[in-house]
Amino acid sequence: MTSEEELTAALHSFRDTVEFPAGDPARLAKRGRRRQRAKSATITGGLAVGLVVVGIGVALNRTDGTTVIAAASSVPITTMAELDDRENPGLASTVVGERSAAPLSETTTLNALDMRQLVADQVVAGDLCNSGDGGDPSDVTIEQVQVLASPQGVTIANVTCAPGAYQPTSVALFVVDEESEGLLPVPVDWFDGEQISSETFLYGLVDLNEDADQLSLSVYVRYRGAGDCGMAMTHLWDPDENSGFVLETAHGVIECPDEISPTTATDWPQLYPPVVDPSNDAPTGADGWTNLAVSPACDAEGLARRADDVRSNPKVMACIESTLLANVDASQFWIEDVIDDGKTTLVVWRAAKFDGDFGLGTPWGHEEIHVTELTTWTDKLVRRLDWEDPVEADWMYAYRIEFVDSTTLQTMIGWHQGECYWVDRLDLDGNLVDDPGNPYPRPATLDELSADESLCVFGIDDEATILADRFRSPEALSSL
Amino acid sequence: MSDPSGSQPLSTTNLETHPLDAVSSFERFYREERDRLAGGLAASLGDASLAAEAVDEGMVRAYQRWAKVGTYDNPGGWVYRVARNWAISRLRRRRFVSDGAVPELAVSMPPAHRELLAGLRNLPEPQRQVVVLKYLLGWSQDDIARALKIRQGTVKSRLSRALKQLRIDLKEEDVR
Repeated sequence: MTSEEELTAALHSFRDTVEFPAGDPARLAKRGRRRQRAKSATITGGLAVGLVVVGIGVALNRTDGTTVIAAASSVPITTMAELDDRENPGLASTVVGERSAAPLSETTTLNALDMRQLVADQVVAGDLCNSGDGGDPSDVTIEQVQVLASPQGVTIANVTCAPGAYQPTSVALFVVDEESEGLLPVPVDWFDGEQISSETFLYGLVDLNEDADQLSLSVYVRYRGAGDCGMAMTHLWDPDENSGFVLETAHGVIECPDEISPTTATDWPQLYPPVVDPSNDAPTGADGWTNLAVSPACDAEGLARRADDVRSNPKVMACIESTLLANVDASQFWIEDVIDDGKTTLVVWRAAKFDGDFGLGTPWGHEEIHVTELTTWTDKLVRRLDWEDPVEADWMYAYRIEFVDSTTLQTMIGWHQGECYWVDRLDLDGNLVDDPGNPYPRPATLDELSADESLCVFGIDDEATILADRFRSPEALSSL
Repeated sequence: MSDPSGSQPLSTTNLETHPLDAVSSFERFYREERDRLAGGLAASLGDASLAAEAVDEGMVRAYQRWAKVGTYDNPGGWVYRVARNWAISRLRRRRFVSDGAVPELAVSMPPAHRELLAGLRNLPEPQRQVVVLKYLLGWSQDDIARALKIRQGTVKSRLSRALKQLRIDLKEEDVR
């Protein structure tokens, strides 16, 4: 059993046994002052004035008050040789391609300048480039820095690096972290044909674009010179997290056919999201089951219909997730349990769209429990839990859901931020099923509880007992 | 908001008018917080030397902006985030050499604690991080949310998922 006290003790035990090299604040302060001097010298060295002049010189004023610096993306504005004589003169950098569709305000220009300065600072630190597989970081040069200030107030630097012979050119995106005034790498979804991973070093042609509504990214990569395979992805800036690019579409050919192909990326089939025909969605039936639209690829292969594959095969997971979320704005999605009694049925937990910000910096929404029958691709909402207020007892969270049998679910619901639990049994319509042997029933006084009260039917340390007594063992779950 | 470091917020006025006070307050902050933050980062990343290096880097950047950072309710949160980002950047570069494996926790400690930390190491890094910040550094959920620039709800759900997974992992360990 794991209590919070044990966890705290273990972590302190770890910290107490680790010895760190002695710190030296005077040495660090010296480092800081040296950097500060270098930055000040550059800012006052004429760079800012030069940039503003160039920016105005090529600006096209729009009637809507925005300004486009049309040709600047391919015109070197200035070299930054004065920055390269500091700590690491080997990393020569050239800054090119300043462009902005944002109003040409002083703030925007200075943001771009700051960004360039930050890039230059971190060139010295060698932070921005991938040195390649086993490459020597000192061989890496920055080929190009593009700074884009979007109308949404996001300023991004696109840094293209050459890591040396026989290493692919890498591209990385950075945003200014306002609080630390440093550069943070921007994670970008990378689709390999089956799964999406989050990467900060990209390869291929990477292009940032902005318009009045959104900031977007396109990535185009040929897997090899023959050009018979590759991937073309488009991304949108995530306005909620404001910290990365989320995959919007991917077209590609994953398996290289081994012949020079005249096809271009525009001919490549769409791989993400899987092609789904929403018109296949039938109206909700009287029993609450809805037909799901499934992509032809997933449907034809019957990929998602084998219970033994549901948790282990990435293709199956991709089919299930893309199908279940095709028309749903869900922020989190978990397959909780699978049952196979001739039909493969999942029980799924998902946190659905957040409806607004109720204060405390956190938007609240609701979570849903669904069952999905994969043989017929039909789905049914079992229960919806609303998160009314995070500091009230009715902020509930489904921690464990499983099938008792094909018509009954068992749920463990938590509240008080996970410090208390109760267990319910439900039919697939969400109705409570009589469960006289349940030692952890829904507390009758739940509606009256508040966060100020510590009254719980049972505490967090009992969770393992609940799991052991009332739910199948973790081993059984993991073997599914 | 509570100040997990226990130190008093610094006065902007003092920092601006008395540079020596600023230096001494930074030095005090450094001596109080450096190993503490490095310990947290080490537990999260599994690499003590990288953690110490990263926190020192964060401290340099804090020193450069101490007039501003020193006024924050939790300057340690600022340093932690800068240090973490810097360390992650380093680890990403290492990935191409060492296949991205987080280094082992090469320390001696009681077996039960080692087991717990092994479970912790298997958690996704974002979950591991909030666990460390809460249970090792003792930060409130609000402090964690501010330091990591994530929502409180995200902190809660990461903590909840982390504890749930830890219990499952350790339960499995007991069964074997």
